[in-house]
This record gives sequence, C-alpha cells and structure tokens, in this order.
Amino acid sequence: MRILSLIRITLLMSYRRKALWIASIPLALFALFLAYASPMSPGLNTIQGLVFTGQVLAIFTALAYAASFSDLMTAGRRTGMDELESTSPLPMAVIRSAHVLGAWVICISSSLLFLVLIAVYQTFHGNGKAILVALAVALVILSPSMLIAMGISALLGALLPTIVARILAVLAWAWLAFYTPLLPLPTLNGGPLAVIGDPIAQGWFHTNPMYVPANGPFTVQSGVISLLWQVCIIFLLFTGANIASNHIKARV
Amino acid sequence: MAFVGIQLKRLYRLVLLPFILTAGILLAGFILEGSWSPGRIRPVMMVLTQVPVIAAALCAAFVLNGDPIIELAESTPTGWRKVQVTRLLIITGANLTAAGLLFIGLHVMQLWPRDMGWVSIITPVGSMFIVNCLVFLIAVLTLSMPTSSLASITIWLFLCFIWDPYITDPVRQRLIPLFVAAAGAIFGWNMCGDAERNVVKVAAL
Repeated sequence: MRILSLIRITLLMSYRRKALWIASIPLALFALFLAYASPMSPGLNTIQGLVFTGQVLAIFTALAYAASFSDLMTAGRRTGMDELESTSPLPMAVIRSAHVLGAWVICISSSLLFLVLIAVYQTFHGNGKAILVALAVALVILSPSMLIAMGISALLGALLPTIVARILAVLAWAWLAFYTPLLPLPTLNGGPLAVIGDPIAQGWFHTNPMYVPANGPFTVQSGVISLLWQVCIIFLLFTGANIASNHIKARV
Repeated sequence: MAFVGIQLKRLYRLVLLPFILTAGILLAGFILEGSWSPGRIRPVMMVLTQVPVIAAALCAAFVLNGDPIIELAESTPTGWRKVQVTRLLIITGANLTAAGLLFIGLHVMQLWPRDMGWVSIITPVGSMFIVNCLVFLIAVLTLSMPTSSLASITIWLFLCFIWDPYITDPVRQRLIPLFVAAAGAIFGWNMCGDAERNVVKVAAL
C-alpha cells in the first residue's frame, strides 16, 4: 500500500513539472518528423513503421533527456530534502526508485502519446495488433533507451559539476546512438549490446535494424540478451548515481 | 563595467569553455589533415562542429537558471533583468567569438563542411546566437534548469536535423531563425522586466 501511495505521490510531483511536459512535446514532435522524413523509414502504415518510429523517438528524445536529468539524484541532496526523506519508514532505495519512476513517466508520455496516436490510426485501417505493438515498443525499446540516457546523466551529475555532466551526458548518448564506421572508436552498435533497440526490433518485430549487425541478423535470443543487458546497465547506472550522490555535501 | 567584471569573474570558466573547444577542434583538424583523406575528415568535422553548439546551449541554460537570490537582485537598483542580460551577453559574446574563430580556422584549412566561402561564417555564429536567444526566453519563462536544458537540446535538434538539411542556402538558412530568435529575446527581455513576476515565480518553485 505504501509503495502504491508513493507511486501516486511521485506521479503528482512529476505532474507539477508542467514546463517539462510542455517542452517534451515539441521534442517528441521533432523526432516524429525525423522518423517520418527519414529515407530509411518504412512508412507509418505498418508494424515496421511503428517500431522504426519508436527507435527514432528513443534515439533523439533521449539526447535531450540526457541533458535534462543530471540533477535527478542530487537535487534532493542539495536542498536537504533527502534528510526529510530518510526519516520516512521506507528504504531510501525505494524512494529513489520512485523519483526515477516519476521522471520516466515525464519522459515516456509524450512519445507514448504519439505512438498510440499512430497505432489508433493503423487500427482504423485494419491493423488490429497496432495498439499492443505500440505499448510493447514503448516498454521494450523506448523505456530502456530513455532510462539509460537518464542514468548516464544522473551518474555524471552526481560525480561532476552540473554543466560538465550535462554536456558529457549528451555527448555520451550521441556516441551510443550515432556511431558511424568512419570514426576509429569502438562501438556497441551492430552487436547484441546496442542500446537503441536494434536487436529487439529485429529479433522480436522483424524490422530492418538501424545499423547492419556485424554477425548476421539478430534473433529472438539476441533480443532477450539485449533487454537483460540494458536492464543491467540501468540498474548499475542508477545504483552508481545513488551511491555517488551520498557523497555530495549539502549546501547549507 | 565593474558590474560586468563581477559577472565575468563568476562565469570565467564557462567563458573559457568555447575557446578550449575551438582550440581542440582546430587541433584535431590540424592533426587529421595530414593523415586522413578529405572524404574521411568531412563527417568527423560535421560532428565536431556541432559540439560547441551543444555546449553553448547547455552553458546558456546553466548560466541563466538556478540563481537562488533573484529576490535580492530585485530589491537593489540594479534589478534582476540587468543581471540576467549581462550573463547572457557575456556567454553569448564568448560563444560567438569562439564560433567565429573556429570557422576562420577550419575555412583556412579548407575543412569546414559545406563551405560556400566566407558567407558560411553565418552558419556557426548564427546557430550560437539563435540557440542562446531562445534559451534566454525559455529560462525567463520557466526559471528551471532541467526544462531549459531540455529545450536547448530540442532547439539544437531542430536546427541540426530538421532545418539545416532542408534549407541549404546559407543566408536564408540562418536569417529566418535569427529573426525568430531575436523576437524571442525581445519578448523575454520584456517579461524579465516584471519584478513581481520574477519574485513570485521563485517563491512558487
């Protein structure tokens, strides 16, 4: 019960950050336009189009979320709010998870809205499964990517000065998402460890991946591996951010 | 001038940042020029020249938000608007200069992507101006650093991936958003002059 009420309160808290909601709508619209105008786009009328749109939304909106959430773990510490929270009977880990959950709701909802709108359009044109696919895409492709971007931002924000953390988080996500083979850098793209949903998109939804896989097409198993790997990264990032934020001195 | 000096002292690290980035990119260009083919350097430079724009956008969002003593500034004859605009001018001036230097350096080395002669200088300088003006407007509207950072990357996203690839004439590419950005900055300037609003907004946070 306590967990439920915590979720309710967290949702209320994130609901109050109206400016962030409003700012994330044009962001999702721009990403939607990019998905529509991309030469790789399979069009918005098919399941493939829905998955592709989900991936483009994940790549581009996460850039901005990487810039935005570097104070996710440290804001409470700086204002002394965490002292109040530590007197509550819930474990701190649960409270911090609730904060992440609230931020995640803000991140996902504008993208989810547009995905569902496309799915509704497809449903009217005879594609019965579209809504289910849209929800699945939001859960297994959009959410992990956004949470990784937020986690990178939160971890860097807890370790470095805010402005450095914001810039580095954007660059880190840009590296994860837009690697080109022309640069002599190692990359996760093209393998099962990619964080932009390629293995899941090809393995589970049979779409063309953004980056050509290095060792043949992705299978259902590579999708499972990818999802587990992303969950591990997310867990590590937020745990790291939580531990690092405990070392920040409160500003009195 | 003393007032500008105080703000400069506060922000000098952020003023140095664009120049460090410019120097780094020019150095990278200088090193790569000898060893790589132009076709291989071009995409690298297209990526690297976007880094200062991202940095400038986030710096502006950082500088213009998060000051806990807006009320104090409003209670002095200086006023909050003067503080805010001075900070904006310092950071924008540094970014414009650094962007200009970056273009001159890369133009001389013939490494600037989509170079159309000296008129192309409007591309980097214009994007800095547009991004900073619009971030100023959003900072005045929201007084929130997460939202301004989000919005600054949104503006950059729009310029870099939606506007620039389709509007390729360099003058038209920058002039239209420049007018929009200037209008936004004037709107922000007017709104920022409302002392009561600034104080109430802080109290509401």
